[in-house]
Amino acid sequence: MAETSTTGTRAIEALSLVPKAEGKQSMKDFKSDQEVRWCPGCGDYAILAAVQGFMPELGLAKENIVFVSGIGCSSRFPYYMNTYGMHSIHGRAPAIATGLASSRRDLSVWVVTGDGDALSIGGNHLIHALRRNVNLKILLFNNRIYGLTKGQYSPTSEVGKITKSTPMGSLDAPFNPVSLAIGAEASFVARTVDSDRKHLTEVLRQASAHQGTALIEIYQNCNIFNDGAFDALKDRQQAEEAVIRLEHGKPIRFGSDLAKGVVRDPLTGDLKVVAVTPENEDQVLVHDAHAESPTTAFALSRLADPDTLHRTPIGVLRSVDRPVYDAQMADQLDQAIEQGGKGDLAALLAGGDTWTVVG
Amino acid sequence: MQLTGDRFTSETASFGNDLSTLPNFPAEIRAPAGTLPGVSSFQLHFADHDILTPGDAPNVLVAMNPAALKANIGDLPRGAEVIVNTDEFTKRAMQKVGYETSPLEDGSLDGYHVHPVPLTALTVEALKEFDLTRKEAERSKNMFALGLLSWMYHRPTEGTEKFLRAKFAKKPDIAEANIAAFQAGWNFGETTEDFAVSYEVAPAATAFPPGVYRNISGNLALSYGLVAASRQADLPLYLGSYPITPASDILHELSRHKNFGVRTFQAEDEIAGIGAALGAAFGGSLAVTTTSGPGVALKSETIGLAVSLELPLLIVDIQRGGPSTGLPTKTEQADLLQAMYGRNGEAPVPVVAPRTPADCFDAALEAARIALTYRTPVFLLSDGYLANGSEPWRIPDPEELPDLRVQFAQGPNHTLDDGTEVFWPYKRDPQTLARPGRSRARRVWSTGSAASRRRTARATSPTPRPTTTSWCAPGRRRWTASTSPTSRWTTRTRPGRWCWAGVRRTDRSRRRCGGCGGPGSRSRRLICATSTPSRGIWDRCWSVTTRW
Repeated sequence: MAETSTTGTRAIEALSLVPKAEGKQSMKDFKSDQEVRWCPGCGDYAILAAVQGFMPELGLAKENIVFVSGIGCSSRFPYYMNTYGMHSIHGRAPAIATGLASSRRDLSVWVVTGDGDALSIGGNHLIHALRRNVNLKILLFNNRIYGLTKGQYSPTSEVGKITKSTPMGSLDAPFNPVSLAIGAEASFVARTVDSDRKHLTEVLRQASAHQGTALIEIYQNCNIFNDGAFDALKDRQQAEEAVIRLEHGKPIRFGSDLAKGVVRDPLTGDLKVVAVTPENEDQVLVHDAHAESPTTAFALSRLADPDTLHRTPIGVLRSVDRPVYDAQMADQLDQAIEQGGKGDLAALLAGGDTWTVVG
Repeated sequence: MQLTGDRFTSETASFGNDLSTLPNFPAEIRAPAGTLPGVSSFQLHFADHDILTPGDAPNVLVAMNPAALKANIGDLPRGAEVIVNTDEFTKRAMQKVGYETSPLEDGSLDGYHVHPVPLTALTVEALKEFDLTRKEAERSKNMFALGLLSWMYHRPTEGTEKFLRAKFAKKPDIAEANIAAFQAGWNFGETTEDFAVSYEVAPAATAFPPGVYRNISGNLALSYGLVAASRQADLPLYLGSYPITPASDILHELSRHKNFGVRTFQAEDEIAGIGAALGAAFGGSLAVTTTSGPGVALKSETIGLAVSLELPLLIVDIQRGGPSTGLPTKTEQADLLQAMYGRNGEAPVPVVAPRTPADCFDAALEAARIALTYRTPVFLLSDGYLANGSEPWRIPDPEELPDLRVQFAQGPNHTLDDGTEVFWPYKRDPQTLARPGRSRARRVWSTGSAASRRRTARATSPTPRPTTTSWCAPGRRRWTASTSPTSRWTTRTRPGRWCWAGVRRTDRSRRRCGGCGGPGSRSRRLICATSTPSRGIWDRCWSVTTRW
């Protein structure tokens, strides 16, 4: 597949400053000696296994990989990765990771966060990390509930959610994290599902090849407080109708026998789903993740029904090249030395007007 | 007005007086002219001996308008000299600030030596040969006033003329007009009979040890101290900051020195500012965040995290009054308690406070030294007066600065009973109690787990311990604290000799606070245009001293 080979080359570029591992790595190398302590059956296990399974593919020195997390169930992640890591404070992981990535270009920096951590208390840091395009890979575990605080509604919960804090149903309209990220000028936005390891791994692959901030929303089942939230996307029969799998360069079709397709409504310019017929087949939209304008990616992100999750697009919605913050920061330092010479402390301290006191 | 003050200060400094300045300006970007809240002032105290403050009671006031007079006359002692720009004392201007009758005529200034000078008219007259509009000519009246004061105090004039030519290099007409106004002011003093006396304040020969000096403000000295600390530690400097008065100058200054390898990051908020700095510290930078009180309130949790992670981090707090709805341009030493106790549970943080504007340089180096030696966040508490005030500073030779280099761990630091070599991240250096580092990891180095274990350790430990840290930066650069950087600087930089806050114990601090020189002194406090009283803020020595 042409796309895979491009991805391969780009991965080398994106991580070119990160030292390579000596010898071959396996999944075992990335498992820490810590006992994994999520609830039995939690979707986080599947994500952890997928990430640990994918890491050897990058072939990077473990010492140069860092996982930074915030607070929440997902944020226990760094304990279980045999790399550097920081379990930081609530919502601030993108800010901390920004400082690390912008000062150390020889590191592969990952942020692990959840829907409460990233979109509620840490919303500000998330949008600014995305607009800056620092070289970070953000894994946003979205279970549409607050798990660690034992079951309050989250900023991605559907309206009317009955929880301990909302016995009569929640009133807040939810965020669509993918729409939010596209609106925040993200250069890479993808969505995947915890239980689909193959898809999840492919998204990780493309994200790590991306230069700049990558946001991956991972639908993750919380089997204690919000069990079955994504069943519509997981049940084999339902999923056919509910999931729209996006692949760059391919027509956007789904449903049994790919009978449905996404076309542009000529009247409104918006996207809509139609039954594909031989007459309208050529009007089916071909997914272009690299389109400069975010308009179509945004429209795709809006196809999903926020309540039932029907017509949820998964895959890479947007992946575009744009200047990377840490690279530009380093360039400015080089440029400053080129223009003004390497800093001379004695000259700096002396400044302009001086006088001498003789003893 | 600030420019006029700066020039007088420069001339005074190069003449060899000791001095201390207090710029004071309103929070408005363009404050309404002629109103009491809009008064901008520059207070200068200079002497033939060592002085420590800009003083409380100026001997001379130059009031450019009725508002400036009203705002500051209360600070002047009886017999002080008051130079007023009579052109601005119109009925309307006086009514604006609540003068029913003219203070120049109603006898309310009888206790002072009042010099009514039509500054505006004289300036316009002096510049009539220049091709300037009246409005442009009026702008030079500050230079006229500066010339007059320079005559009164026998200041050298060459520096100001040179400065004006350089400043207006692209507009030589403006430069010459300003110089003409400046000279006119000088000549006015020389010829008018209104000024019976002029003053000579000799150079403060004994106050200064030999050396090369310059004038420096607190924020500039602090910025230079950070750059110097980065060089002495051989670590890249990383500043994560959100703009806030009066700390923004440091962000501006450091942003100009990228050729020293300085990275400056203007964050989306105060929390992200310190967050990014902490991330950089985790990666092995000398990390700094700069802020003021309202920012510290927001950064508290991250400081607590830095204590847990045992990472070196400088929190520079240029104090001011109140929360963000407070007094952005007015000073208050408002954050001592916040700095000492503003965290969850037991999370002690060393606090270093500079004494004077020039001392900000030393304090920055000292804060960096403590942070790197003990691997801990350190508060550096400056304030608005120190930040904007200035004084002469003996320029240090970079060679005399302390060696702040740290070492990265390169290997295992412990052998188990079965002979396996391992790295123990909590095996502390017995001297500094800082954590060590090592090379080849066999186990997770999640500082997350470090944090939680540290918390557990703390909760069960009956003895409070100083916070120390190992700095195991990702990517094969690891830190060891096996040796604390030995200081060959001065004795006061030895561990255990610094105070929590306030004045570090040095020869200077034993001197009497106040620094006004007392009766009979030839010290003169000069207030240019207007002023608010200095509250002797950095004379107030906190008495809390703690030794580790």
